[in-house]
Amino acid sequence: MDSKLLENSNPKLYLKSEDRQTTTDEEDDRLVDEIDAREVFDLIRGIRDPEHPFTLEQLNVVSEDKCEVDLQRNICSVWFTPTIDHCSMATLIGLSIQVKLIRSLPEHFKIDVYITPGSHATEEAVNKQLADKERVAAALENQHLLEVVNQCLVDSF
Amino acid sequence: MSLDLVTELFGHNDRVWCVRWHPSGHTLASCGADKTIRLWAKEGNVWRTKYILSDGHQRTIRAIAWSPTGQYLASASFDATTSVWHRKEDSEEWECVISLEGHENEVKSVCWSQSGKYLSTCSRDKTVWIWEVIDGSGGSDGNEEFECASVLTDHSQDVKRVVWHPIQDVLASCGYDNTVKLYKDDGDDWICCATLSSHESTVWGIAFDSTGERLASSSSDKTIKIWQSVNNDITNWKCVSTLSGFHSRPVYDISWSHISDYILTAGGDDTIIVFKEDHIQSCGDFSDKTFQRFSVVLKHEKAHQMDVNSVDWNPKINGIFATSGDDCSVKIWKFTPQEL
Repeated sequence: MDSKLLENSNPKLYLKSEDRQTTTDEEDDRLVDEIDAREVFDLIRGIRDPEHPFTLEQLNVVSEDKCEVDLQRNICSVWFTPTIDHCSMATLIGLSIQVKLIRSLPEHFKIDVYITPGSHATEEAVNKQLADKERVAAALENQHLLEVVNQCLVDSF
Repeated sequence: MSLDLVTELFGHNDRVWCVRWHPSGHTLASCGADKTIRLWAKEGNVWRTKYILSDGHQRTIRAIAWSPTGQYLASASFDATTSVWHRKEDSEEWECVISLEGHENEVKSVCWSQSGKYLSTCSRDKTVWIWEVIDGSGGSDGNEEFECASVLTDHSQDVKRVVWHPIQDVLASCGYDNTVKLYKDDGDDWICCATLSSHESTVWGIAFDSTGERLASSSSDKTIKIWQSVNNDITNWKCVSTLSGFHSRPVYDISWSHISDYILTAGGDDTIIVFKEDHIQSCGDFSDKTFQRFSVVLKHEKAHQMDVNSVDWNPKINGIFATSGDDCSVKIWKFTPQEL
């Protein structure tokens, strides 16, 4: 790939976090294992960046401390940090996170995906678009876009 | 007061975007992501699917609207077209009589004017179209033609909804640019005659009261606003009330009953709310209606398992309304204001 075509040709890489340690409670089938932030992070950490062979975790786009689960209201919130503040892939990355969570979490979960405050030039516009479920639904009926999203999600399972 | 679930209707196999009552109040239409329109009616005591309108659209059907006489049904689709359906004579069957093209991408809403003379559509392409209904044969027999009367480009973003005034040929639209706009025919062409700015995010729903002198709007900013036309002048509106703190997610639809005056809202928090204007004795400053108070008379959480996308008061039977949601279901409810 010609590196001149890349928006961020030399991204900083971060260490992959340790696998989740299974607790004794989790091995106990009699106990309800509630969805928590770590579980949400595990679902999205393996998503591929649209322009690099790296995962969102390796690029520090997503992290466990920026995932939140509100079991009372069934809301899952994720804040992601684009690698550069004018990244044109921000909406696509956000959409990939959203699609992954829509497909993985129980369907009554409401999924909110935002850009980490202060990390992107058009933060507000991207957040508004990601929050518009009608536009998200229309986007996912677009065969070409869906293929691009699915490409980012390959190996994330 | 009480709220009873009359029936829950299953049949759609994807998100149900819109429900709308036939003007007679006896048939309900619903549509959604499964690309079908279902017509529901009572058989004896049981609500059933009377007819399924399919093959009219290639993608999601976002909205539907009945003509004022109830002889036509229009459907707006993400496939960029609007279909007009007509019931075959002496039959339960409906057929698509015309497909209106012109929008560049997803059509988000469709509405028929009360006079029956106009049909309006709006789209993500930021435009609002007004179609003139030209009766070719002198009767409502499915031979109407639709001619584009105007393309309005006043919105700066995705247009979410179009709604006609209940009495005059005045159109209202709203959308992603956070505004509500009104249009009238100035004799030469259709023009935007008012812009209502106050919402802080996408405006999803608009509804006129029975007089058309007030308008309610609902938004992603989680509020509902009531607008009053000054001296019944449709070019001059002011916001007389903001209802906030009631919904915790975007308010996707709003319906203002022309029978009882109750306002019904539904949102992404799975909740439906009924509001009513407080009748305070008009005195002094309050008599000019610069400020109006509305109270919640009923709040029902978990009305659906998921987001509630649409609400519609029955136009003939007091207290009956329909809702639809992302959980694939359509529900019919009975609201009783006072215990008898």
